[in-house]
Amino acid sequence: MSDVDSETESQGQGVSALDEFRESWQRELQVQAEHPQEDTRSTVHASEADLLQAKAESLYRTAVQLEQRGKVYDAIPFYRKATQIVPDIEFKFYEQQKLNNEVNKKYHNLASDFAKQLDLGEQQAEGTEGDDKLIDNLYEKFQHDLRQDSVYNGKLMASSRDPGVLSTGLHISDLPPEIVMRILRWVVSSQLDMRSLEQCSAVCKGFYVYARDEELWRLACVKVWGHSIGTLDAQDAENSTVYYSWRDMFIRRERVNFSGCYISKTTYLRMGENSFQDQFYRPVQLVEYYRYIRFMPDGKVLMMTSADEPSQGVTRIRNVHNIRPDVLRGRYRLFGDTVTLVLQKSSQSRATTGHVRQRRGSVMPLDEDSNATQFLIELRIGHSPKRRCAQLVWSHYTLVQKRNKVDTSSEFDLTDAKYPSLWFSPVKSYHLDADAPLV
Amino acid sequence: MPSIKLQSSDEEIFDTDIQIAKCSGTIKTMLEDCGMEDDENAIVPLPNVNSTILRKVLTWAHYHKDDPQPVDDDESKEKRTDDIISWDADFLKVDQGTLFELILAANYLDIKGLLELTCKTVANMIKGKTPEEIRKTFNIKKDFSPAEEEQVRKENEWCEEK
Repeated sequence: MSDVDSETESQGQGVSALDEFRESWQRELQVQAEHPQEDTRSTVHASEADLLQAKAESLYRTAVQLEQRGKVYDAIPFYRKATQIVPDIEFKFYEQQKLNNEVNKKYHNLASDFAKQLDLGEQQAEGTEGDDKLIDNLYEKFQHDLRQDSVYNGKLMASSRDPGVLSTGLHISDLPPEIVMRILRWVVSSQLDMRSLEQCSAVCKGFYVYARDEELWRLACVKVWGHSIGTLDAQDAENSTVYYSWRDMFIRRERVNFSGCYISKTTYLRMGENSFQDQFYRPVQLVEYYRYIRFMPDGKVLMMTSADEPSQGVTRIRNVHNIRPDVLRGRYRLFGDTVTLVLQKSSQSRATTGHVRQRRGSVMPLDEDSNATQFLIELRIGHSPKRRCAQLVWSHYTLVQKRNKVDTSSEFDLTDAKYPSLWFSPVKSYHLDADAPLV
Repeated sequence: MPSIKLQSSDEEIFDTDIQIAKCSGTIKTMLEDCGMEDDENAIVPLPNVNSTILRKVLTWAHYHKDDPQPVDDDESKEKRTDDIISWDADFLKVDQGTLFELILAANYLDIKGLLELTCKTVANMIKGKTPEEIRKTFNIKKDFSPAEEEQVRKENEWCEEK
């Protein structure tokens, strides 16, 4: 919170400083205009330099704020402009921030100390009131319990083994904390199996403390949102949400689910050919197919349309390394409550172009994607009463064909009948085994 | 092939190929920093590892001595043969106590491959299980009060499968 305060403060200062500069500069210009002979070149030079620096600073500040909101790509042009004006703007900006911070620090420290004292007082009061009241911070309470209780013997977990029975085997509580965290990183794994982590937290107090570790949740958020992760308290400007923790962000912020795939069923009737013999026989065909979209935490996505029932369909996109050629592969990015997908035919087709290139023995490297077809899809994330982010509603679907370096794009007509929204269904077999630890 | 003598906590001596012993970061540093490499009769004491576990660790190190250095690449992951994986699976068919001792030994001896393998094995014992199943698997005592348990359940409600 203090960050926000100081930020807005410094922003306010920055703006007013800039305004001051503008004013003084304009005044100087007027003075110059009135007394053109009197002015000395050096002062003009100095004020111009100051003005440029102020401009660079404001550009830089805008860039920093954009980045904090998660808009890295929007921030880059501002950074670039700022450094073009003043190459070492980063250091100058940092120095100034430091000065500002030092002034603010004293007061902030006082405030937080005071808050701490209040906190302690509250907790003590709660303890005496009784257990049935909702505990404010389980994490702190459990940590406190674990330190106090002699049952734990300095460890974080109690064994359920009968202490009377002699046992030589080690217990999981004998593992040092850094090893348990290592294991939990494997539990979460690169699949971001946060559900298993949450199950851990419900095992005992010790596991709760381990599984609520902020670093684990922060890493998971970094995986999901990548560059546009932003900070906990400065999100997209349109809905400035404050998240209490990385875990809170992971739960509440719009994203896609990984522990299964999104499925829609399309059904429509198609008129068949009239019979040659019987003019009154008009066959009607019932077309029915499913669309499957599976998101991976590493930014990859698979899409498949198939007549297979979901029970078989989901298994066809289970093994990421062994995908049939009719499955579209691509990447996705989250932005606010929309997810954007860029898809292409699987690598099978790319392998063949590579082959052609070899056979021709051409010296010129053939542009691999010169005749590629790209599918650009934009979906809006919706919620179901049972699960967050369980629905994907079509908002754009464009086909881009590259022929001889010319892009032709055509927009699909997204009628509800042909493009019903996709619903998430969990698939257990996707997350059976850990593949790699969370890093 | 030069060899080295390793001494376990119960004072058993293991005559070990120096190349295999060096897969342990701890032993490698010891040898290099103390200049013990050229001394044939030097004994490296390992007071934190008993002979049963050390034998097991050395078996693993022997099997994996020709492993290529891990590369962070999608391709290499696919190429990894199932042969090694099934050997490791057989290797880790041990009781839980031994598995934890192997973890501690791998951690102490600084053998990254073995540490990752054993941690992954424990993780797979946890993944996809309910809290009660996890408690049973690892003999963990439930120390929540009913109110606390209910509150944790509420906090975790978002990911419940229905």
